[in-house]
Amino acid sequence: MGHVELAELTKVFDNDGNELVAVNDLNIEIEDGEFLVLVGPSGCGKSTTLRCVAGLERTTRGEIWIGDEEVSDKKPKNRDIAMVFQNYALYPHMSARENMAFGLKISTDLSPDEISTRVDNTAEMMGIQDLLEKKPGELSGGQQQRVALGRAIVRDPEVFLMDEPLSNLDAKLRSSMRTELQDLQQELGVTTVYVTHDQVEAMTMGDRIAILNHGELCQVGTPLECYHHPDNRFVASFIGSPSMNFFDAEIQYSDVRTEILTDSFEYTLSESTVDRLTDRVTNAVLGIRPEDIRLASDDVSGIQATVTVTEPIGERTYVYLEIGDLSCTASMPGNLTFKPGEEIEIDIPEERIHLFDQETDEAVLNRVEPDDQAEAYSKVA
Amino acid sequence: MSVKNRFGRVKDTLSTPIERLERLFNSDTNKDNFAGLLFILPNIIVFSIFLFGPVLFAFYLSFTEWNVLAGEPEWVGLDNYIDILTPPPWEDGWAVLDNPTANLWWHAVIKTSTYTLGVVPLSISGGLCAALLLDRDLRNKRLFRAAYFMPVMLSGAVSAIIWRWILNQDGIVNSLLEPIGLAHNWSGDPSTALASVMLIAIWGGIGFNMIIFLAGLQNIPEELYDAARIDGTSGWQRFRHVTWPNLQNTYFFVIVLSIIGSFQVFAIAMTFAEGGPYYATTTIAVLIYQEAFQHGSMGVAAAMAFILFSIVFVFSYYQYRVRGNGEVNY
Repeated sequence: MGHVELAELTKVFDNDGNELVAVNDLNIEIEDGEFLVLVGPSGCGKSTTLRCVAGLERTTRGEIWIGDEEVSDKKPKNRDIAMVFQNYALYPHMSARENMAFGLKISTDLSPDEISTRVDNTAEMMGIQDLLEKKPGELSGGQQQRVALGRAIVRDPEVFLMDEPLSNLDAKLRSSMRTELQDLQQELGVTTVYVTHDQVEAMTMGDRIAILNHGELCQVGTPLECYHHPDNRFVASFIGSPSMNFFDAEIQYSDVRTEILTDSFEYTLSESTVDRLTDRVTNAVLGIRPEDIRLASDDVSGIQATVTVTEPIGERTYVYLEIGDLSCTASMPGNLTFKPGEEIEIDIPEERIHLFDQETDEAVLNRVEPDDQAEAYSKVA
Repeated sequence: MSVKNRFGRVKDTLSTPIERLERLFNSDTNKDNFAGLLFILPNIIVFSIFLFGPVLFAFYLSFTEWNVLAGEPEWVGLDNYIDILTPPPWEDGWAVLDNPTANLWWHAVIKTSTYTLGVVPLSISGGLCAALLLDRDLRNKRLFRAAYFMPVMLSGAVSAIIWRWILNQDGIVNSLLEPIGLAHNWSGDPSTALASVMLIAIWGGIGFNMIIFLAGLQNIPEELYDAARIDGTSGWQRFRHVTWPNLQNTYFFVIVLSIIGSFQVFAIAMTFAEGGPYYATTTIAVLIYQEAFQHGSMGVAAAMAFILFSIVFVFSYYQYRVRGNGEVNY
């Protein structure tokens, strides 16, 4: 069974007496057949975590379970895993066929004929039969990546580990390989742990994503959970493009009404929203996604903003705004045109705002789920 | 009409040689060529005066008989070459093996080949082992690297003098070997003198080859080792399937360089035993030196130098052609 569990996984690097905590007390459970994406900025510990699971790094503390076995002391070959690397890591002096067969030749007692049949079958599945006799140097980046994937698949492992496998490909190839990889994973049903720093890859590929920062797990959940219900400010800023807007704010509670005061604008919270607050903090950070900012309609007074830069990307136009001393980004429909310097009025819908505790960065209020929106609207009204 | 060849250069298919000449001496292109020529002129001048000129002069000398003190060179045609190469080594049942004076040239060729066969494999495998050891996370790694590289920084003559002391009749080696009865006159005995010279060359060669191998090792992507570990390889298998094949370019380079260097060995052989005892360390370069500056036969020495050049050239060219497409690309 390809069930993977990381329990209190910790990895500390000792760099000439300076201890560097790369992964701190990580707990993740990955279901059999699940596609889990580890995502985070550079140096967040995602690759180290993957290398620990692979057995390429020794863990400092904690346990790694693959199936029913605790494997943290086992060699990579005894963990029933296969790994795909960012730079493909194909042996340059071997043909694609020899590259794919190498692992089977070394670590199994299959006969050469059986190995050859398995390589052929996998090559057919990956559409690389014609490349089998070529050496990596004669293949393009995309073809090398296919061979590298083939090398992982041919071993028929319990778990695939992928370390930024698409980041060396050009943008077009990357997006087509993304779909292909997902298809392949669904077809094979093999548990996959996939590391990337690209949040688009994380959002589109993962059944669940685990967001790491400074070696610690910030949140694990489905892509949309993380998008709509970020547990903290880091997740909110990391997931979604362009990134969420944040305004430092003070919340003033009173029996009559609750107000959010930022340096440049004020915002009144309805009672139902106040009820949803998990903690009545006074120093907060107001968060709103660029795609949730709208132009104010004529009958509602909005927040005054000045357009500084516009970035039309076709369907949407990213508009960079200044609200007093604060700046923010809005994603507007592509059919609207804005000019730098133009004064506009924007509306920040109450059901779309997020609030975070300024001290702990934890979320105290998340936006209303899209499904519950109709209900929420009626309450607000 | 023009087509692009595989280097992306446009190749004229229809222009006549005259058209091409016209283009060469034409307006802008011509100016650029002239400017380019000016830039490399200093190098051409120095190269001509100190290298190319002397080489051509030596080539001329090889067809003459010339004693520097006795006057003008006298044209003798191929006589020098014939004198050097005859009698052939197999004459009189390989007499040259026992009696160097039967033909000193062939004696020197045999000595140089023996030297090469001993020094090249040992200094290369030694250099590779040192590089493999020092490529790991080792304590005092830098100190070891510096220690191994130190001999490379010494001139051949200096290291030969140091080793002459060490291997002297009453030197440190003999004082250690004396209690077990193995003391020996290492540099004075014709049967061990060449081996001592080889020892010095290996001692220096290990450090030099180590540095090149270290550079080669650092070029091997770490991910290949990771992939090999995932594939279930043992330490030896990783060396066999990852390190060794990926060092191909490096050891080709090291082998060619070592062989060429060995064929030209001069300083250590000359300084350690001056070609003796009884011609035991007379390598080709030592023989050339002795002919030219001790016997004053410039013509014979020049001819020998050109035969040596031909050997090295043919070897290098062959290696270069054979290698052609065998390079490893990462």
